[in-house]
Amino acid sequence: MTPARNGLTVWTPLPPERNGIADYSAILLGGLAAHYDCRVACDDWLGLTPAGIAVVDPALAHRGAGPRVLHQIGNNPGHGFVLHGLRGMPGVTTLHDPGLLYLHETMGAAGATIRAGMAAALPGLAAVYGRQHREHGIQTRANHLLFDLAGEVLARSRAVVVHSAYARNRLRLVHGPAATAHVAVIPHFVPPGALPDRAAARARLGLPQDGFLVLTAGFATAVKRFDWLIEALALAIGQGAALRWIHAGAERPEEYALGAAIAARPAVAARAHVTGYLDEAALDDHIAAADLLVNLRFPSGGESSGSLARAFAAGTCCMVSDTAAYAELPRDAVLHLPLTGSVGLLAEALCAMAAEPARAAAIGALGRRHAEAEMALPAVAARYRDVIEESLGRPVAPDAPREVVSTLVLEAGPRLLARDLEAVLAGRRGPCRLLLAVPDLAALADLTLDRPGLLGDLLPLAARLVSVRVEAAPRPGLLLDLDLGGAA
Amino acid sequence: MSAAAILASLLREALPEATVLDFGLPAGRVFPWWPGARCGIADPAALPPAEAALLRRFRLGPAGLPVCGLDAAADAALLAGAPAALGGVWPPLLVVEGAAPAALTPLLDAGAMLLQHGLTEAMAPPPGPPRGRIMLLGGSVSRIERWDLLLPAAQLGPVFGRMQAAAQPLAAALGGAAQWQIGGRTVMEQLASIGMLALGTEQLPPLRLPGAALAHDLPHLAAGPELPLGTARRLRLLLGALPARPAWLRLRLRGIDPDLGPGLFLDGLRLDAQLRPEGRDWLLEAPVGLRPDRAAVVGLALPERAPPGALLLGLEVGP
Repeated sequence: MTPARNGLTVWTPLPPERNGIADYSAILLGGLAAHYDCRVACDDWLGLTPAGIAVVDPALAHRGAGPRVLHQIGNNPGHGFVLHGLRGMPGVTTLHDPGLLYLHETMGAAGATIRAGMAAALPGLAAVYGRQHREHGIQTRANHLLFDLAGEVLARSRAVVVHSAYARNRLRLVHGPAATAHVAVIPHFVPPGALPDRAAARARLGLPQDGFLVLTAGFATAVKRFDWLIEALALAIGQGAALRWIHAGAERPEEYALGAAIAARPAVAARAHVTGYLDEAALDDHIAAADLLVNLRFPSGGESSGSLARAFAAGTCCMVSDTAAYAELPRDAVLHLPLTGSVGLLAEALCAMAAEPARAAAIGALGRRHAEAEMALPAVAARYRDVIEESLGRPVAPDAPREVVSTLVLEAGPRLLARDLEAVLAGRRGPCRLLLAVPDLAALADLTLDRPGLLGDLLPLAARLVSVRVEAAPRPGLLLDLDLGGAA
Repeated sequence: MSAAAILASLLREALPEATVLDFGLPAGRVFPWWPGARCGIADPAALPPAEAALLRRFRLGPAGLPVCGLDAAADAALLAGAPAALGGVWPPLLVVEGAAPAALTPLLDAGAMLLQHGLTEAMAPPPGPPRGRIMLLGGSVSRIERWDLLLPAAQLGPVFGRMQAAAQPLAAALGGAAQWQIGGRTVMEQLASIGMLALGTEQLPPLRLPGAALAHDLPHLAAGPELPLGTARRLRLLLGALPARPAWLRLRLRGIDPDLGPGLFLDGLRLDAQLRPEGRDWLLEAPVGLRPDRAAVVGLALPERAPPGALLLGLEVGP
């Protein structure tokens, strides 16, 4: 008789959603199935899973769920339901990107919730950025780098998995050692099974067998530094480098106008091609066909790259930015591009590699050896199992209460300060009612006339004023309905 | 566990105008068999948050009434006796498992009828005016289930008569009178009893509900007998708890593309369903195993490229 196996509910997007984490999860499930009876909570009920693994409606995932739960969270709108699931069914959470500000924004999180998360992470900086956010609606790229809004995930997870020591250290610096003691590093895996043969892949793609091919992959965003690459390509081509460049992925003009940037460099445009979004097989063909995968990031928040893992598996030489998690890769297994003088150095490297492709092939072989030793799927799945099992007894922070609390009262004299309100509201989340009490309505009139913009000065950044009304009885004053945001 | 289905079928004939509020969730065994009945939960505080969040999604009928007990504003209006909150005629019939919860006292004080499951002799009589009692025995001779109907004394006789009259045709439709032991008597002016017990295998009436009679989680409401899906790609239906038995679940659909076939789900998990044409409509059907202790949730998912505007004409559970 076969012994009963433990169940595992995995909250994640799934293919065919165009989301790298969906692809990651579909492959990881194949590895986890060696240890658990898996099921997937996914808001696409028709999502694709490996054979034998069922999809369950997230709204019903609590029925029949055991204690073993795994959440896969990335920083884009496709993961909103996973964050909701984490609030109801705590478990182990993989943070593919330590920064979750964009996710919260696209989920429609209240501004107060976002500012509360900013203040929880970096209170000093949040005082400035939060005020700009509240009063002028300013949300810059800097906000996304500075404020990760990962506090809720850390507090509500029995363990947190990240893919690099950089990501763990960054969380630790922001949230402190106690809040991050349960963060474990599990590297990204390489996809199981052999990637296509280089020659066969080139034949399928209609590419010549002997040309030097530079590849970039994924959604084209500004942090992938296509500006550096295009300039370096122009320099290299100008110096006689024989190469072509393919971007195997889709353009997001609202984030980075890749097509326009290429068109502005006719020498590059003559040797460049953007494929648009590719399915997994076509992406594998392009990666296997390439001589060099350029996988730059600046700035980097510690995110991982599925394309990089595929390139390792294919034995394709990889060039990464010498920053964040990419700096942790072995120096002999990838090419590290410094963050200063990047364009010139990149052009030099392109010229050298194009002139002697065997050097790229040799580095690619070392990259594959590294991946086979450290990033094999069975080993990664076993590490997930260990983290899940060790986390079972760890308590999580209770969900923030959302009900309206009874009215708080603060005496509002002429010397009322912002820190007085901050003290009264400290530690509170969600809806809150506060009476700024005055002796009589005449005193209230005096107070508001003497101090124009009174509430703007007094309210903490994390507080959103929902409504205000003048109360004459039982106690005169200003009755404020506030939203103090949730945990984030 | 077929008693709820049989007794609900009899009561529908005896109280055709009644507004029914079944407070049996998280199971809810009567409302599936009574189209138009509202469902609710007697003790919402005891419900796990995730189950409460699930049930809070559902709306019923053209007014989009929520599940009783999970919507503070609607509950307050209901307990205050607001006609629109009730969604039907007074007095309502309240269905409870065991003793009536204190939260229902305002409705009971105002004279609501009560359908109670369990050994009601051990329970305190409900508040409000004196009521007559009809003891209802259902199920089979080997497994008898007891319910009590508490109603205004003046109505006991007429309701008793209508239930008795309804029992024979129902038996005839469910395998014939020889398959059933049917009896009933008036013990005293305010006490009567009716029994309808299966002699062999418990028989159930087929469950057939028009789309608009189902509690659903669509953002819009039904205006006609069917439930229009509009542009929605996913639909959940709160079915209630049905007797445990192998059966077929069928959704009758119109306006779907069979080449982009929908997925059928029960309690969140996809069923091995087949789609077959029936006239200009389509039947999406799958064998299911039902459980009597928890409200079933049926799901329908259309592929992203499926055309909008499909209609759910009805739901059936049967052989």
